[in-house]
Amino acid sequence: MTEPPASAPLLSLKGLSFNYPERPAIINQLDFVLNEKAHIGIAAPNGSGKSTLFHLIVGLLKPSAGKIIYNGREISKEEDFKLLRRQVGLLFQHADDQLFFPTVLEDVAFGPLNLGKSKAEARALSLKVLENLGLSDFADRITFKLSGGEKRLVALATVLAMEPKVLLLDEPTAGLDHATKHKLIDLLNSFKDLSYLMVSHEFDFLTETTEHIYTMENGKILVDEELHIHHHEHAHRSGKQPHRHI
Amino acid sequence: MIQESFSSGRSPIHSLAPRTRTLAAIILSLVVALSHNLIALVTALLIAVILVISARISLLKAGRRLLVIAGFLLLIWLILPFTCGGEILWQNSFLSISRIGVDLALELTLKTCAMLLIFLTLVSTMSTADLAHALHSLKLPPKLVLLLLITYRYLFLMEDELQSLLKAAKIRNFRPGTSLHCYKTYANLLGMLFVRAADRAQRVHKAMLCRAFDGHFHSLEEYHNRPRDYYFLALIVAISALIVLAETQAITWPHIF
Ligand SMILES: Nc1ncnc2c1ncn2[C@@H]1O[C@H](COP(=O)(O)OP(=O)(O)OP(=O)(O)O)[C@@H](O)[C@H]1O
Ligand SMILES: [Mg+2]
Repeated sequence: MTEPPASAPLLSLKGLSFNYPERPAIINQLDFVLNEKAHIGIAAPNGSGKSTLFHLIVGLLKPSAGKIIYNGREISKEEDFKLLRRQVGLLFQHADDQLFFPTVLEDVAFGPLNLGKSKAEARALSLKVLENLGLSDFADRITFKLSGGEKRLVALATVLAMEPKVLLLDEPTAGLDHATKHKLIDLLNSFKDLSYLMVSHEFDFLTETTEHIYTMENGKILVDEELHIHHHEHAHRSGKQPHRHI
Repeated sequence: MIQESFSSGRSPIHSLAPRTRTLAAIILSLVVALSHNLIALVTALLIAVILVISARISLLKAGRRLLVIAGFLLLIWLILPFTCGGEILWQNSFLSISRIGVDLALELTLKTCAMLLIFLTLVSTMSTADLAHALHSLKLPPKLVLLLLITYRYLFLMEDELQSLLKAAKIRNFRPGTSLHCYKTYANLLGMLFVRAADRAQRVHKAMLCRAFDGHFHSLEEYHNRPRDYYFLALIVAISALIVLAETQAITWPHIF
């Protein structure tokens, strides 16, 4: 496992708490720091609040307590979150929610255009991102007539086209075939200068793309209880299921 | 599936900038709406048909679109001629057809068809995104433009949700019928449709926020006015002037009856 580069904290969460109306706290006094160029994986059971946490970070949900600090600045007002969202890209768990334009190219170009890029720049950038994902032929396809896996990749393209500094990926491999998954691994490994926080239930995917894998329990990210999964062959080769070394 | 079936064609009309087409549609429909003279209206209808042909839309398809309003027109023809009074064209013991009624019904029919065809050729030949962009550049308030775009987007969502709900019902062997069970199922489906569409709309809105959406809409297409846009607009203005002329000259319609 590669050692994380010693670098400054980019995104810190301090004492973050959140509950859905009339429900117990789903995020509870959560502390977490994401360093620059750090690649972190989160593997935790269904319903443990991973997606909720991502939505909190980009300000789609408002925490009941706690602080979000990005680049040394506390982010609290919607105006701050607007700026944060320009640099922190969130890949939704459901790609369907993320695609809202008739054609793939228009959809991918939506973000860059909002960021103030010219039409020519936005088009060129979108085509480049699509090409990197091996989706060159998809530019003129109709977004809602794609297969589940294709939608997933296009959704990833829409996020990457915003050229974010931080990626929050909510189960990026869900519904992807073996070959596509490997393409995604190569792609993620090429993002040396980017930080990302990634939720996945696939341990071998996480080990190949992240330096640390944490889990969530009782509304907290357990940083002390890192799941150590090694690159070398070991006794659980057969076990694709999540497993823990205690 | 909701389709923008005319938006992807190739024709002289399609090659005009969306703004030109929108402006032309507004001018023409304004003139048509304000005209009462039958010669003016027949001229407008002829112009509309010529536009349909030059947009290479098959007359059959255009006709099918006209069928949509046929019911409305039929209603007008069933009511107006018998209820308007005034000079009587024909009567028997219990029915009388009034000239004003027939003229009025004819006027409405011509107006409706002309306008529909004008919008069919000039507006439905562009994608909704282009239309929104055109309206934006014609200085329509951004909020209204956004409303149009979002309505369009959510129509698809509603349809999508409906399709998946119907599929879910179908694979569990639901067969449409007239039993109480069926009605209850339909009621549930409809309820679920609205709840899910609202939910989905919220999530889409969130996704738009994540992509730096700030209420302003940018289109990827770039349009510049070319000479042909100015020629076309000049032509439309000339035609409109002609129709207005026919209107003000009060050339009377040769009554057929
Ligand atoms: N809109 C909502 N209203 C009320 N409760 C919700 C809402 N969304 C999620 N929850 C609940 O909050 C908890 C955490 O949900 P969340 O989606 O964050 O889980 P997750 O860790 O992403 O799970 P998964 O692995 O299944 O994606 C779940 O128990 C869920 O039922
Ligand atoms: Mg989730």
